[in-house]
Amino acid sequence: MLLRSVLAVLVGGALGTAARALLQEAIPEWWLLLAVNALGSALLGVSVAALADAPAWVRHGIGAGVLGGFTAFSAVAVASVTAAASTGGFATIIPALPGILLALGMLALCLLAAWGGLALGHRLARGRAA
Amino acid sequence: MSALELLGIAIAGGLGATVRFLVGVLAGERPVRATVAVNLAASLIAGFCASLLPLDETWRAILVTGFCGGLSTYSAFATQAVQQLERRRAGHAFATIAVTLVGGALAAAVGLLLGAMLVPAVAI
Repeated sequence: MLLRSVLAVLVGGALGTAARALLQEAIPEWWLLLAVNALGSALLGVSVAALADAPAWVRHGIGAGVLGGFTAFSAVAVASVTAAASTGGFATIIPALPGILLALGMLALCLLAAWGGLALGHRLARGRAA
Repeated sequence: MSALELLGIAIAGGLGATVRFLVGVLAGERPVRATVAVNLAASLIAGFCASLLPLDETWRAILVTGFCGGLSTYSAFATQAVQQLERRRAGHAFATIAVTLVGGALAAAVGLLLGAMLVPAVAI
């Protein structure tokens, strides 16, 4: 049973990562990672709540695999450190400010997305049960 | 990005996601700690590979975008933090967020520093 989940995560993770890499090349903007992580967080929220009764390998393949591979924390961590004082304004007084704003903005957006996704998923699951 | 490079990134991402999943299986009843651990480890490796000068750009993409991107996750972090809040464990949620954000930035900074120190720019 675990093997089936591992294979689903391997394939799902490869697909999610490829989708992120393709989007990154198509839209090389600083906010792309924000959009990718927010979308992935919302979809994981939906699937955690709506797929609670699905087989384990399906939940793991979509959750830990596709959506875990699609979103990335490491890129945020590196970007929040390397986003130094190149933007002017307040950033010249506090060099770490752009990085801190990026990290906190990402956090706020993704928490909201996950919360909204979970609420939507619970509603979908209830609608199906009724 | 060539098709072969995309394939390499995808395979590396699949392997990273598998490592993350297995760490979660090992963590058992403590899935949040597993997420924090893989995110900090991936930030360290990503920082190291990002500043390691002699690394080929294709391999850098495979390791940073592929493996580290697949190993780390933002969706599980955000969803687990929200679930902690919904269970009225605000203290736990705050700790998860603080350790992830501060620890992740520190891990990335240490990785960037190590990568830059290993092969100083003047040596090339």
